[in-house]
Amino acid sequence: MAVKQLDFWFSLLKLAAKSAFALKTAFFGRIVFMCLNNLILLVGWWAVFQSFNHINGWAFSDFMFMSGLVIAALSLFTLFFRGAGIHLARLIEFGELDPYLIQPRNPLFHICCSVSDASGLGDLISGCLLMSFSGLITPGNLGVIILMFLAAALLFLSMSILFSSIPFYARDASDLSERLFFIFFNIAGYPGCIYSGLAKFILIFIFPAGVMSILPIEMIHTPSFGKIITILSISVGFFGLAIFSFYQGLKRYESSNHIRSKRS
Amino acid sequence: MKKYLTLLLAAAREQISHLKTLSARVLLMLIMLTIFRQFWMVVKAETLDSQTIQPTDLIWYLLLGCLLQYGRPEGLHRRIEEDVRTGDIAYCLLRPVSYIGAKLCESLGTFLVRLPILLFFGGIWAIYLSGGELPHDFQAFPVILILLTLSMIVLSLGTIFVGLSALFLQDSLPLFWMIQKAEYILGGLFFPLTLYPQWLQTLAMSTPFGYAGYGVSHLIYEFSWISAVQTGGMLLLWIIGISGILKLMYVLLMRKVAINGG
Repeated sequence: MAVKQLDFWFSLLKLAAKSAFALKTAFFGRIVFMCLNNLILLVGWWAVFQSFNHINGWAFSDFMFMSGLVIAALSLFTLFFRGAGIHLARLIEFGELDPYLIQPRNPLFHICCSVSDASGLGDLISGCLLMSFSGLITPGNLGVIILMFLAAALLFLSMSILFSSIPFYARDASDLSERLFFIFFNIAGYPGCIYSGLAKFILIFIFPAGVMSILPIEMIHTPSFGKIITILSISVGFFGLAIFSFYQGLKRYESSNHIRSKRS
Repeated sequence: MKKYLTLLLAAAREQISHLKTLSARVLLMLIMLTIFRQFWMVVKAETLDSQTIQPTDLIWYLLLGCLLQYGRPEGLHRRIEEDVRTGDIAYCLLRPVSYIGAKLCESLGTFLVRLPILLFFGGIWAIYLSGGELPHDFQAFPVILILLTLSMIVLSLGTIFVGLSALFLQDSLPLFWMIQKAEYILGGLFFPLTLYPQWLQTLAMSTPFGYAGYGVSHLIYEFSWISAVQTGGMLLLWIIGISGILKLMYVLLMRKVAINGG
């Protein structure tokens, strides 16, 4: 069963890659501009860190690492599971899930994998470069960093499914879903050192952007088994919640009876 | 002129009918304002003593940046790109209005409806966050709002440029991301430009973003008529310059459409 799903996933990826390569200028443009986009943001933060040197104990290298982790994690989502974003929300809102529901594949998995964005490659490159240049990666913590990276990517996927399921419960909510994801990404992109007390608790356990911006740096500087378990549990927990929320929402789904062939 | 006013009013009416989206924007703006404020509180507690900007002024500075960011219509570049890629732009040839002018009027109509609503909620929130205090040069607010509208026009023309760039790039989204980040950083929407090294300040002020963002927003705590007139003049110059480039791009686009069809 899992092998079949993987095979199906690879077929979808191949199709997405072919379609992205069809417009070569756009394909390479997306990668280059995405790298430049991340570079511009980094220059801005570098200038700020130059002015203040340290912000609540964080040096620029900490920010670089955090930024790299968030960007690289987002790239996995963008490259492989972009369908879980606005695409899913719009399918639900317009009652166009039917082509996915009548197939023998897992509908959620199918929708998530059905869209891929080449700009993710630009993010992956710049994210990995940022983490490497931060100087915080050592052979000893590489395993933990990979785990945190995968957990962050899973969290992006989970939050995207969670937000995209809102149209099951509220009308005309696809824009809201997109904006919520944007807020989530924005908050994750700010140095986690600025939050404390209740805000920190909320950002770790309720709106878990802090799992990417607060905990990884704490984990790098003061490693502990408890912290990595917390990061993994929150990611897996939110993934479970996202799947539950999608299938609960599916019970309320109203088709538009607008059956048509889908692209992938 | 009446045709453009009609387009502007239509865009304004559309905004009023999308109250849910507008409330989401207000909420997003308030959240971002709170995060900015939190960031600056932490920074101030450690190192900002040497800086002249007071926390209240800074919150209002950030609010003006947010108004510029959240007041503009989203997806304008995407709609233009679709017109270019699908060839629908050919239908615009038949219309008695300029395509660029029509898109600008849509943006302006959207902004003029969103501005008072965002300002109302954002203002209350800014007063709350700053402990009931008003910014240093609050009396200059009407002038700042006029300049903010000019900034919006400059940035919207930039977005139209991004949309039309699909003619050469096939896909305008990556350029849009880059321009958006340049707006944040070079426009000083997150951080006042005075925090940057001198070379970056000079670079920022030689782009349209410097005057559109920092140039207008910093007047809330450092108002002078000379700065206001200088900023207004530079914004007008950028409007003329970018409009010229857009006109040229539009001519190229139309030539392509005339040869290849819509």
